[in-house]
Amino acid sequence: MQSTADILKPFAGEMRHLTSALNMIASDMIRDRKLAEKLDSDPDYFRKNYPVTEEELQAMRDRNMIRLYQLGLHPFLLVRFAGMMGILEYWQALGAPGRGGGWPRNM
Amino acid sequence: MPLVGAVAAPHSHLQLFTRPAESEQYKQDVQKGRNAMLALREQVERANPDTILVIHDDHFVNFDFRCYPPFALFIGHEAKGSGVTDPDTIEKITGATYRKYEGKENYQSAPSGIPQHMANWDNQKPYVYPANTDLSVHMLKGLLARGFDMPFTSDGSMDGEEVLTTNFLNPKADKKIMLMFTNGYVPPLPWPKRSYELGRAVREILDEVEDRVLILATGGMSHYPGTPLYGHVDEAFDKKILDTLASGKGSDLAKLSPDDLMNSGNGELVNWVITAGACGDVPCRVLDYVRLWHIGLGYLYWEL
Repeated sequence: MQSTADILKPFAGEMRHLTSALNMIASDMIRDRKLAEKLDSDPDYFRKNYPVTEEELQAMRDRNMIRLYQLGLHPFLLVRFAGMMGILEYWQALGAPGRGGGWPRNM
Repeated sequence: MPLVGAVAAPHSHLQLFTRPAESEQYKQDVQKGRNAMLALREQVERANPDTILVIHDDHFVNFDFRCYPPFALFIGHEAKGSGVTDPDTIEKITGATYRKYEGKENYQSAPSGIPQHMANWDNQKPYVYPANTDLSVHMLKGLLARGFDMPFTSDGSMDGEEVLTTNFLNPKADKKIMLMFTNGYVPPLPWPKRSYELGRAVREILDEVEDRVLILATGGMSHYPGTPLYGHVDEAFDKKILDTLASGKGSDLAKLSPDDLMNSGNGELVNWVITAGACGDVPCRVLDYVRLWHIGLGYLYWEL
């Protein structure tokens, strides 16, 4: 069974949030509610204004929570981003134990 | 005047609303937590502070990846924030009143259940608290003199979680507040040893002034928001911390590492460690511990 440290490795261990541009984008989305709409309508805006990789941008456009977590979107911002996208039960997408308890299902 | 009191209380937004699908047992557990919060309010009133120093980990409202300090002190005149649900519901549960703005009809920062309330979209914030600016500046200078290079900010935006705990414990906003922001969830975290020493310095400074100050440490306990561990709670770690504090050994928290905190879902313990440093090794009274499906909630006060 994986330890908590193993599961938290991208976040608490490797601290990928420190170097991923995803976090600047999500931080700005908290302050500008129209910015999130550009993900679908104007993805070039993000290419021009942030040092974001195609892989990062695609994960955000796909609302792929597992990938975003692995790429280093900070968990707080991931929750905020999921909420902005209308994904309330974000932990289900992450394979988290949620209400059922137990260990993560699909990481 | 020495420190007149210190409490630690959760800031989880699920103390104020329950999702429609939650069970009766869950709702009873939430009510148990609210009762503990109201019992803590009695302790606050008994201590009769004129100022509450709120120690809280900022949830990306004041700071973000452009700059995220381990600690920061608010030195402005007025702190304000939005609640985690609509003000009428908050008033019904906590008794907290709010500022109404001309022409503004909707004060709900997000539909209940959707965690957007930490967004900083609205400038007309309903919960407004006068700050003890003079003491904040005095503390800033005092900390620098004691070797703590404390950042300061004049932005007193409070996220919904910080407002929530303040709704319960200062419902009429009749006590001034001071805000100390911490980093409780953006690794690398400040070390508990340093956090404890910071608390001791805070206490030294408060012992020199006439203000009657109570410290409110928000947050905790074990939870893993935004990660694949959401729903897992390290209850054994939580109970060990509560036992340590109840037996008057708060200084033991200074021996923890940032990894101990993060791996147990207890990054926000930073706020409690600072408070333990301010209180020293006096026993805590643990009023309750409530395990919700995604978090352990601890309610306690220090017997100063």
